[in-house]
Amino acid sequence: MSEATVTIRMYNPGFGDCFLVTVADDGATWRMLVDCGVHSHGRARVGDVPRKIGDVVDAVIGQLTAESADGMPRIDVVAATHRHSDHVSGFADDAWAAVEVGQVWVPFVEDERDPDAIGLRQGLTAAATALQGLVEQAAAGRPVESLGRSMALAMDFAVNSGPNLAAATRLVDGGFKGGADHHDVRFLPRREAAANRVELPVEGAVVHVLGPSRDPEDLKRMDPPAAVHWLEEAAAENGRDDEFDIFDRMYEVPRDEVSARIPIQLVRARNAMRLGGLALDEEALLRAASVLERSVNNTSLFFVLDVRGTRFVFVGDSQQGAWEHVLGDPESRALVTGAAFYKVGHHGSHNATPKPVAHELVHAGGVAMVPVGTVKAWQDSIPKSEILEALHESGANVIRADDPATGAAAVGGDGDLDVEVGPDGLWSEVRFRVP
Amino acid sequence: MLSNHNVPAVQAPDRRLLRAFAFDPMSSRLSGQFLTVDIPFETGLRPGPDGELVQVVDYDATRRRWYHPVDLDDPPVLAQDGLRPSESDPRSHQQIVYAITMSVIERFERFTGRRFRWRGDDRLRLVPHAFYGRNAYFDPERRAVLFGYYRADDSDSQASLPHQLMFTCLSVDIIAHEVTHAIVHRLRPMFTIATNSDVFAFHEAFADLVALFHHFLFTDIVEDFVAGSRSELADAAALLSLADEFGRSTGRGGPLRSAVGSAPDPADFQAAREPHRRGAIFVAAVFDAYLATYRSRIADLRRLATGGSGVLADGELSPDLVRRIAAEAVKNADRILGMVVRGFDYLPAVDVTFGDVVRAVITADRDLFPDDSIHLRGHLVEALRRRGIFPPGVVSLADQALLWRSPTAPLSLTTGEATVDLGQLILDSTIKLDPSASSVTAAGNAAQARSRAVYAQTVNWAKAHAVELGLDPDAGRIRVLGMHVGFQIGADGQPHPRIFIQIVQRREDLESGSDRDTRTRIHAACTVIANVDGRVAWLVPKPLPFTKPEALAKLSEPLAVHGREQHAAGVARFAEIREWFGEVEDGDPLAIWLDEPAVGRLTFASLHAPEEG
Repeated sequence: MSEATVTIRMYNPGFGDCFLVTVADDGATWRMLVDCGVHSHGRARVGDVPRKIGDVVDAVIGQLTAESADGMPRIDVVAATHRHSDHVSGFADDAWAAVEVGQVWVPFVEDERDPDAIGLRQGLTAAATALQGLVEQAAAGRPVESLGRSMALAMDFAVNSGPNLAAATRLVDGGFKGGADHHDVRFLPRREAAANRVELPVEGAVVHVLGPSRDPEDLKRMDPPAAVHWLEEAAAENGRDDEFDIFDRMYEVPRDEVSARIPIQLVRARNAMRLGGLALDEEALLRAASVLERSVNNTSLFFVLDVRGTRFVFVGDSQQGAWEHVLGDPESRALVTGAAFYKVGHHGSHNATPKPVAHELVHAGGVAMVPVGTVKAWQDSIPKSEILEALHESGANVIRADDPATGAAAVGGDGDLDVEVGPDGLWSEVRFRVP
Repeated sequence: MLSNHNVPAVQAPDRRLLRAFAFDPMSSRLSGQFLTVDIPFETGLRPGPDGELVQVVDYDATRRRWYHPVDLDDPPVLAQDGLRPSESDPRSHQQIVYAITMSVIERFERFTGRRFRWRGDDRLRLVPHAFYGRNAYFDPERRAVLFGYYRADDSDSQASLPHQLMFTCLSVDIIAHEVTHAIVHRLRPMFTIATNSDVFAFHEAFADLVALFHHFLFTDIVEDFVAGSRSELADAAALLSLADEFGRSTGRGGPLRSAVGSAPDPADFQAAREPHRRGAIFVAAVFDAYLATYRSRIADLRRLATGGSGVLADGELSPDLVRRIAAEAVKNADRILGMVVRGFDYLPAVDVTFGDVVRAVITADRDLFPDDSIHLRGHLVEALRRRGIFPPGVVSLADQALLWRSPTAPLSLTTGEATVDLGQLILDSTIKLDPSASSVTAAGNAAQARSRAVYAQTVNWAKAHAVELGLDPDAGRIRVLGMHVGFQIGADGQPHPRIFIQIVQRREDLESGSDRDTRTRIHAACTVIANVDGRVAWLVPKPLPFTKPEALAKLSEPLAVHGREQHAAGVARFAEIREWFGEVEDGDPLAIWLDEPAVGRLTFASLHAPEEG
């Protein structure tokens, strides 16, 4: 059999993921796009101008067109790992209507007919909507930033987790060339194990879909029912008429009689406690919002591309919990450790790459790619330096989307690896040769 | 006050009786029972109620309005043991939070043998309708217990009407639990820094324990349960069913209810990581000890009642028997809870573990009851062992192996290098014991100045004996966090005065993070327990690595060996703290997004919040 190549091109939209994967040998070529999105706060800059996600979409489609024999852009698989904006916002772009797509892979959570998923998906959407409503109510027309950092962050989570309708419609309802009949939507993983091992047209190439988990315990962890409940309840109560009474009016002190009726030391105690902030508990809101954010991350498609024993690991934004499911199974664990390539989870944040296995994930001389654009507010924690150091120490070449030149220089002409960087740092690419 | 009405004046009573739900509106409705809470009569209690220790502030932050404060000294209120509890009258809510809080505080005072005061003589604020929300928590920053109210939904089986309002401030269990958090915080302020998985678990367990045993304070309620249980007395079904009421109507205490009375398995405790679960196992062990004690204490009554057969005759229990059995149940609940609470003063000042709690309780109890004549201590150690709770590394569960450590060489506060004038401390503590001497007149400015001088002397004493205390003579500032005299009653019926000192040393050199105000603080500490003549009886050190361990070699032989042991223990403890911080960081969904350490986000509010459940 002829030598195969695996080419992985990481685009740099900013704080977001977009990977074009090409597996080829003399007999066949197979292409897959993994995610295409950017976070609203984290667009990459070209000089002083923020890069638009549309530019990345155009570049991807341009590449597909250039590689196509008849000049028609074509791709075998589009995988959207999870519904967060920083992974799917690009699919809202109408340019995709011209692209011929073979299959769309999305997590089973998005399947409207999957009984495991219905409650979970509705819960996530309801929580995101309630959260957004609560923050907007608190802002009362002012910019959300004026509420302070916690609320701005909670709003980010809400928007990121909320329904990305245009993108979702294109992915699931058939927004690529030819419409719904033309491409096949796969909700993964399936219940039957055999369906989660997908043979590719290139000889000896296969994809193993390992997550998200369908284990009821794990599903419970992805679903934040109590948080949803709490958020919806709070939103309902906040929206209620303020004049609604919990006690008969005679027990209330009329506003103009407070100074006469309430002893001054009690008023002072009230003031000292700053009780105003309790009406909307910002800490609790942010906590619920972050639980929601993590829950959605843990719905990520988690898969391994295996080309004749050389393995390429894509984890979406799986965080603690989702990883445990994979590492807990010896066969899955063997697939994700000692790989040639690792798409660093969740932009390199600390609990998206479990520290105990960070040293084992990539074999010496392999590659770890970090899709990250620094966002000032998170610059100390994302990416987490300990994670990148652990990968580096294990002998992996670490390439950051926002600093492709340094990554490329480090790899150099390392044996079987070729590295290339696109104009203006738009992408960085590694090519592996597999005998 | 009241004495204005009569000439000559009638003296104010010692006690005030106030009614509360037993133990919340739902169970009260079913049983038709109210509690009559018997608390000290505070003269000069202002509307609120606003007293010397607590202040009820009935302001609703969600609806931004005040509710009229209750005046408990109003003659119609006084004449009927307080207002009749009612869900629709907020003043009875104010009365209930005040009454239960005062009764919990009084119980603490009785057990610890000293007057309870909040730090700086401030008052604890109770806000019965603080916000809309299914939560109630102690907020150390606001020095307040904040009670939420919420609308029942379909999952609230206890609500009698759909969508009725539920008030957390009407649950005796919730009030007792939250107030205990406040008391624990007063006695051990550093226990809000979660340096291991047990620190918050202990806070929770202790609050649950006090609240659970509060069910056994009311003789008439216990009598009802004993009379109603009609089963074999030895299986203590009455006590278990009374315990099973705990938190039931409010959706709280689930882990506790399932743990109490369950079959013990030592592996459970080792496996449990979640604070509520670990705490529940500890409480269950204490409850086991209570049941064992109760059974042995009613054995004679059982023999009398059954003519020695152990089998009761058909029909109702004799009211005399019910009274005697209930009295034993109440008395032994008090004994067991008292034993655990007395151990409080023997706890380390930071970084507590359940193993430390076992040692503290055993050491305190042995100090007061060397013979353990009714086998209380024996029952507790056995119950804890059966649930897998004992200090790591102990070779035996005999008292000797579980006691705290005595100083390596005789150590005294009043002789040697730097001495402390204990006389003033003892005098001031004694004056405070007199209930008629209010804290202001008894202490006064002169007393405050005296107390500052004693603190300064104690700091010097601690510096002079740093290595013995497990503190680093070359690192951060050493300070005295608290110092008091306790007059606990021993087996001989006499008060046994003891001096308790908490000494801490912040080690900024071991902390990580750029901002010294927001990063997680790391402390070495030592609790010193001394006799009133100054002789140190026990030391409870929490060491950290020494900055100059090589300097220990210059010390005299026994101290050098001791110093090396403290250093080694400090290295191990510090490694465990780091590992735990990492674990918390990994589990916290916000850790990615915020710089502040995740451990700092563990708060009472977050522990009690329903969304994490």
